[in-house]
Amino acid sequence: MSDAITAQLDQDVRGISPLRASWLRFSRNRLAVASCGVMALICLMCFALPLCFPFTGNDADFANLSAPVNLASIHPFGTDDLGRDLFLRTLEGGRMSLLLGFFGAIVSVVVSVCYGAVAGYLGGKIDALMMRTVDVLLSTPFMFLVILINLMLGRTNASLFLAVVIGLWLTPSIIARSQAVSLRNREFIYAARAGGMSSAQIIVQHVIPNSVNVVIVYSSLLVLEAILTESFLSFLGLGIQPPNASWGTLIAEGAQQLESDPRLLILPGAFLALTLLSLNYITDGLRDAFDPNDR
Amino acid sequence: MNGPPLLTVNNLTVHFRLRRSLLERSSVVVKAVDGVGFSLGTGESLGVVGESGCGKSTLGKAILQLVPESRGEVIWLGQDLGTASSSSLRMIRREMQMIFQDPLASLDPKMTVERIIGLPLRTFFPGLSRDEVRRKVLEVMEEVGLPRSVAGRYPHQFSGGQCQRIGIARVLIMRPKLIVCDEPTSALDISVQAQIINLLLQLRQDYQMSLLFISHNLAVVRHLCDRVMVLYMGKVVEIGTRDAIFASPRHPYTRVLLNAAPRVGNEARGHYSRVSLQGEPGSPVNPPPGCRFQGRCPRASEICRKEEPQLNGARESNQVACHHPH
Amino acid sequence: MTDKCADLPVLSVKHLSIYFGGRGHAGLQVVNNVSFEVRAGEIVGIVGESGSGKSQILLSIMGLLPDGGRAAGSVRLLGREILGLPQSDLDGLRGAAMSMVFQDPMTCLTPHLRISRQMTEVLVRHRGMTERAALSAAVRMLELVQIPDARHRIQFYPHEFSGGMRQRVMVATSLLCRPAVLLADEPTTALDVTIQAQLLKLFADIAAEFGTAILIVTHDFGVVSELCDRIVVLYGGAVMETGLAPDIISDPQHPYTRGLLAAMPGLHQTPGTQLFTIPGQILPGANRPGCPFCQRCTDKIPVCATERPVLRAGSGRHIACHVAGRAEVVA
Repeated sequence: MSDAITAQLDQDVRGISPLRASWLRFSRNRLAVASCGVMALICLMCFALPLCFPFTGNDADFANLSAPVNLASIHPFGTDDLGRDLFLRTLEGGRMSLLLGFFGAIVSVVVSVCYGAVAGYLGGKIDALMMRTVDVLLSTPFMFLVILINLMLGRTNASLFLAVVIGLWLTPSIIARSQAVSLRNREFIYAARAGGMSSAQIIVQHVIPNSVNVVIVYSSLLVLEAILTESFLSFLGLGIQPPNASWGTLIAEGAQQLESDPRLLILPGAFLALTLLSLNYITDGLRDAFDPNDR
Repeated sequence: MNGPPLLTVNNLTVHFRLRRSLLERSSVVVKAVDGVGFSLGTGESLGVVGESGCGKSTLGKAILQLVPESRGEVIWLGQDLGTASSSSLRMIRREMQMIFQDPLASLDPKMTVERIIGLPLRTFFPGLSRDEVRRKVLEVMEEVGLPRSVAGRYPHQFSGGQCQRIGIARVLIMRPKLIVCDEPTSALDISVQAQIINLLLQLRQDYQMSLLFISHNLAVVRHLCDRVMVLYMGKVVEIGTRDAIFASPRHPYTRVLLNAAPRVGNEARGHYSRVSLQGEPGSPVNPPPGCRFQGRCPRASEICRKEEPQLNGARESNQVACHHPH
Repeated sequence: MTDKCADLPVLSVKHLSIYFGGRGHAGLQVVNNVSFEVRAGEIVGIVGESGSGKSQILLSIMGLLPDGGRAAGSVRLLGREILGLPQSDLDGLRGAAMSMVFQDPMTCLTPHLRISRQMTEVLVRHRGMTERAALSAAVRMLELVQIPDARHRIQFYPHEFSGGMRQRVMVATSLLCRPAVLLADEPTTALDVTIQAQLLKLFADIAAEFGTAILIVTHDFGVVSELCDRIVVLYGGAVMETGLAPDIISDPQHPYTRGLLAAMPGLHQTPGTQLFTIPGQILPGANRPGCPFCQRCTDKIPVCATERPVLRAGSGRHIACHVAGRAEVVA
């Protein structure tokens, strides 16, 4: 019945694509839209605001060692014991964390969707081989992989990035594969095969676009996970190396000086928590809007 | 029919192997289609009827080479598709197309109507310009009775009947010689079903297309098809001209099927009190020896339990696979 | 109307309207002022295409309308008003005084419970039977619907039955408490013709043996023609034509009923000829002015677009049309 209604009520010539309909639904979710605003603000602060300061986060201001919070001064949230501006360092750390988070997530999603779609659509021995590989990687301890990468590539940002991607792409590839398996027996895929399309064409034109719902929801979750993974690795000292900073390293430093100067922990911690919180709400909103059960 | 048949199917067999578990060696064989053979001339339409699980849908897909498990010969204009190279198979695919049962499910929900209909054309003729494809799409949409204005819409915005028209347009744009129709009207309302049947009749007439019409609805098959093939558990039990099958069915199962179909009219009332078939279609998993219909057949005798009846071509009008035909 | 049972109707639906969304009479109306009765032992068929609101009528009788749906009017079961009863009261009626068989039996049987458990539960709750007594009653009922080897099969899980068997199990379950009314929503649509024939016979036997009033919703005139005593033809949420089944099917008078019957390929059509079609398609909503069938009707006159025809008596039936049967009424 609802189909007939949309067919009648919607008299305009261009149809509303399912993707656009989902975005419309998302934009009606106030909490999610507000969270998007918060995320945009955080990104803007991390990427633009450091340019307004006359010094960088690594420049020590020996005149103001361990300066207190004074919003009117040049160091609004004070400095650490080496005279580095706390606020600026947090922003610059955020830049690193967000970059890693978003790019890590995007790369993981692309890799996992392609991998999952190929395995799920082709099925049979290829599927079995590809998915057992994923199983083996999943059952290998993550820390072991990270240390291995560190040994091979050194403690560079590239190796951290690789570690994040390797840690993240496995689960979504399983999800993408199950999506592809369920698509494989849908009639429109039969129709495409009867229409003479090759497997590669079908994967690109039918399977991947129809996995996009699940992927969009999951990728926002991946950003969150990527940021957490990076922070976790940096906290352990396997991530960003000094003098560069990320929220993870800043929190690690802050934790060591918790008793003497809690600001060092609170400021990056608050940024990280706020980011994760708004990402959570965005994920929730996306999931509601792109509910895969609702075609 | 004049000239060589368009399509000849010999001994087509589809056996699915179900593995009970990963470690268990013994596997179960489902004989979905078992030794089916027939031929189809240009412009002819053959109805395939039977109950669910009789293998009629699998048969349609196997003819189009969509079932990797299929064995036997499918000969298209003298060429065996089983041994054809993938490139020549691709060219033949242009000429044999398929319409599906669930009109909405057979359309990619993420594509506009224009893209869905134009996709086969763009697949086979990547060189065609956008405008060329667009012109042909609009042309074929008009032919199946879809207004041009809906070209930019998505499948979920259409009713079932319109979705089926989109499915037919997508097939028609290739000007195929054969269309395999897998229950194309069973998901539609009566008034819409009539529209789709009329459309298929019209297209047959205009383009001399052959139809392989798979359906459980005998009335629709009778209306649309020249010949009828009755399947039971993957086997052809009777095949013949429409008039022969409907007027003088010879296989007990065909009779039962015709009897069981609900009828409209005064004579219908109370007709269910006639002898109706007991039991259910058996399972195509490890079928019994002998005739597959023996368990439900009123005429079954000793020989039916031992020997499998072969399709008997004694009469031209309808061949039957039965030890005790009517 | 000729009655084969003179007593009061078991189920009486009067002026039933159903709305979705909105408040009061706002929102989308899917059923408009539908009235009919079902007597003991009688089988009444509601025939209509998708979007005619036929399933919504059954759901509203059961008190099972989905969220956002509201029903107005009157539904009387054995003389008692049941429309708008609180859910707790309805729970006592559902399964006991009235029960329902759905189109897809698999979705109505809990997959992880044995049939025995699902069948006895009703008896234990509504009738206060012991487990043992309930089990033997359930086995008897399965034997009645011709499940072979019922004593053994009652311990099966739903997936171990075939589609036709499952529908029998559903019918058996719904009959356990000997309901006064059995509602069936397209009970045979998902089944093969040979199985369908068996099930139709079962329904006829139930009505004859237990005097159960059966209300069956279907789109298939064949089913109606074979099974029903009376039919209600529904279009756009309103009754178009209602009366004895043989009368209407042999001599349809409403343009919609005529069109539907003519659109069915059948024995009276020459194979290969173009079928009659009803132009256009069904429009949602049942609260437009005028006749709901007006846009697609070939016999329409100007008044059809402005004034809703009321159901009136004419040649052995009731018909809602400005055009059809007028001459007879005058004569």
